Amino acid sequence: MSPVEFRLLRDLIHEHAGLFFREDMQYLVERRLGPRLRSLGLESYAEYHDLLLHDPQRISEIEHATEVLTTNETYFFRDPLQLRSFAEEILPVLAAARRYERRLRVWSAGCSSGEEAFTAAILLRGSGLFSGWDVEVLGSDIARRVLSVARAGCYGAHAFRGVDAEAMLRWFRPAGDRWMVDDAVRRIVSFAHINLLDEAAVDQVEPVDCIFCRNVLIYFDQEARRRVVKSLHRRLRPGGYLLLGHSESLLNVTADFEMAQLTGDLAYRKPEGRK
Amino acid sequence: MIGPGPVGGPPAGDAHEEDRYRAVHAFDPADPQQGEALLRLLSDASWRVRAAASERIASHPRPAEVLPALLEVATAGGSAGARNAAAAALAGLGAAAVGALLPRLAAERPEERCIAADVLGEIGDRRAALALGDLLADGNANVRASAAEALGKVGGAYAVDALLGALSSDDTSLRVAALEALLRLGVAPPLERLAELVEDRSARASAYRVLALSGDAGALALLAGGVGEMSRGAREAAYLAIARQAATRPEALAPLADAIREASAQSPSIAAWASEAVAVSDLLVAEGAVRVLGFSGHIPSALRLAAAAEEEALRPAVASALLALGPEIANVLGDAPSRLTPPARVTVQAALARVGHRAAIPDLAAAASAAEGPVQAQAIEALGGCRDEAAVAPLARLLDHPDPEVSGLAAAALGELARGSTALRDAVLAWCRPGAEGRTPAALLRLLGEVGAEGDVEVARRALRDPRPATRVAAVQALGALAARAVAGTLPAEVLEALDDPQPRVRAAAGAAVAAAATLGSPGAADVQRALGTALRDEVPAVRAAAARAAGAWRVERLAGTLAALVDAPEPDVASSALRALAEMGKADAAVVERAGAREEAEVAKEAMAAAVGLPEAAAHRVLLAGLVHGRWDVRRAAARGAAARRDRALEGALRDLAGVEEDPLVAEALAEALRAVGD
Repeated sequence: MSPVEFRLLRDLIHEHAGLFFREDMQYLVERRLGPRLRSLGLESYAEYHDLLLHDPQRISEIEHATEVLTTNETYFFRDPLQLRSFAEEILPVLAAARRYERRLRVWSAGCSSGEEAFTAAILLRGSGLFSGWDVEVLGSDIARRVLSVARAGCYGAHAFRGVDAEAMLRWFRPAGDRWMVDDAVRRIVSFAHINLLDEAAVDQVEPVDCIFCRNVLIYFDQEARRRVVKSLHRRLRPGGYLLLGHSESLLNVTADFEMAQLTGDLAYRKPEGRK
Repeated sequence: MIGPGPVGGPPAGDAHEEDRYRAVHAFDPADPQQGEALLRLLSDASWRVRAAASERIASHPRPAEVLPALLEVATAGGSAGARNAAAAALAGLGAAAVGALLPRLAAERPEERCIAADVLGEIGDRRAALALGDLLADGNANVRASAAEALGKVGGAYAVDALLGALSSDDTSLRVAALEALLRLGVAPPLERLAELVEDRSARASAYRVLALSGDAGALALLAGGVGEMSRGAREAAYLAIARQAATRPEALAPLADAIREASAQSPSIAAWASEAVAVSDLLVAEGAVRVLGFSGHIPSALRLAAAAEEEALRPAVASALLALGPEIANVLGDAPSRLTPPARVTVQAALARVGHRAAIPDLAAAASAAEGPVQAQAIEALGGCRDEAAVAPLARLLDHPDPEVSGLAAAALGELARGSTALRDAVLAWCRPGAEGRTPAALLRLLGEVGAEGDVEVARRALRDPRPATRVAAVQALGALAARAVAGTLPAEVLEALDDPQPRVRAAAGAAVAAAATLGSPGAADVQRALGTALRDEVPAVRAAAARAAGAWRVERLAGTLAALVDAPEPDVASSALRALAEMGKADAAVVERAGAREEAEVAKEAMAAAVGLPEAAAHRVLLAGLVHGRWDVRRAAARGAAARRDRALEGALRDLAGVEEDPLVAEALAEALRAVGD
């Protein structure tokens, strides 16, 4: 992929979906779109750009490209240090803060094929802190294809590299050569198609107590990142937490959040303010 | 209540941080009292409050009013937090602050000169370049380094020259700052200078990083030396540069591989150090280390490389590195792949298959049929790359896969296998050709188009009668491809008939197939002309666009009038295709091109820039000069390329002026090429 081809494709995707790929992400774009080109029988990224401009089904192809570019490889219990902080530090705080209303909402924003949303639900269930509570986990993504995988809740071996045998038996049941998420977990998880830049769509999400938004902001330029974080801030209840990917931060994005230093990680918290 | 209130005073210092933070957002920076309060809040104990105050001040509608006070805070001896917040506010004011900041570059106190340079760098306004360049000779070392850093953000020809000059300074920190600034600007200093800087202990790591930018073969020799450096920082800089070189100039790495292999044979530390660096958190450094392991020829490193394949971002480098190590990797990998997760396992098995280890093929075949998503795609592609007949059957079975993504990848992989040798091509066709009544899935038709023989024309013809549009699309594409490869003899009549298919997708595909087969016919063949003439009036824009491209490819001059009218079509793909067709047949007249050049859609404007090459001088200049200042980078670049193609000296002045101010590197590169072309 030449730098010119990269820029043309990047601009097209940005125009269509608001996603932005920095110059240093050219390699990622090339690697992720490569199989798509070959699948279509195209020999160059210029041909692919041409197809995205001229093909009768160009809009669905741009959507497909967007999906391919933003679908991260994911698996259950990815980033165990952060998840431990979520289970052992954030959930007890939220359990205490919401003890009277007994209601908790978690949002996995950019959930890909659903492993993160189900992981959060498993940790909620496994914590034992929310028996009898009204608990829900929402998973959302811009890619419709991965959401259908998430809704099925059935995964192959590669999704379980971070799961020990005990957890496998407790939270999953075999389905042929795959594993199905246990009904007790699936019942509290739902999925929705949301482009985080679509403020109206984001505002449909009911106020939540914790948002996982890991490795999603990397796909936005600074301006779009600010808008997305603003939206997430709006959906978070005071005292709620925002968890980003380990290489992401809100530096130069917003000071709306305060930092919460956890044992294994850093989280952002929406301040309570004075009552 | 906390907030500006009627008197506009700041919230009490002991107010809760969140309350102060919220109050700041309510302040009006243009209100004298509230503006004062915001300035005081730049010294708040909370970074959140300082950041919010800085942001509010930067939104002042009349920046000149707040500049003196901000400069005062930024350069006074207050806390570092306050100075930084004031500097951020100054940078936020942007171009409006430049005039006030420039005189501060000559301030008496060096701290003040540093802050002014830093802020001017953040603003990135080229009006500051000259003054910042002068500051490279300042008497204070911190000021000199700040100026170099700022020039790296400001950019432009003057900044680059000044920074290149600073590389010869006696001041070590200035040399380092200048190197880092040039790295930021993407400018590689002359190789002989870099060779000297690599010998300079303080500048060594920076020099290695900058070597990533050099296209000079000698840079690779220097990098080969870098992987044997005793200093870990210098080695990691060399790994990083190698990763970047691999991304931008993969075809030029052979001498680097040879040099590293030779050096590794003398020093086992090279492989050992690279092996350690594979685990660092900076993925570019890790990738460079992976490549060094591949070049090292150190076969036991295959195990370390296999483990590194667990990281998604490293997989392509791991695959190359294992290939570079060669067939012996099979001896050390043993059953290691079976302990890896599926994506990593397929990466390693793909490399094993490519180095001729046939035992890896059944595992890849299993992954190709049973895995999902990227792992399945990776396995299919690996089978295509292994050049082994054993890969044909599992791939052939996927041609009928219900997911077109999978069947398409299988067709591509089989095509790659078939192009490997005549024997492989025969094997592929023997496995894949349908029987007389056999099904002809779209992926199979595509494969036959790419590698099929004369007898396959009939298969594609038959498929054109299929009730499913997707099959007819694939059939017409296959006929076009067979015709383009001169396998079909002439353009099959069915392709032209398909321009009348009830499905627009099929008609558009037929247009593309006619274009692909253009080499076969005599210009403007009558039957093609008739069919395209009808298709140019199709109700569906995509069909009109495809027909226009075909008309251009066949040089159907009799359709020029229809095409000229289509240049004014509201659909950009129709307009740009029609204009390209006219240009191809030398029939794009000045009025048509100028109208297209004035359109907002980039695709049409770019086509006009290309078409302007063939226009008379005055009209060409009008089109190209408008394009050179277009808001879109790709239109400016197309205009620069148009100017280069015309080699027109009359454009030299304009090109030179624009080259001095162009900020987009791709356009700047095209302008430089254009200047060279018109100067020749």
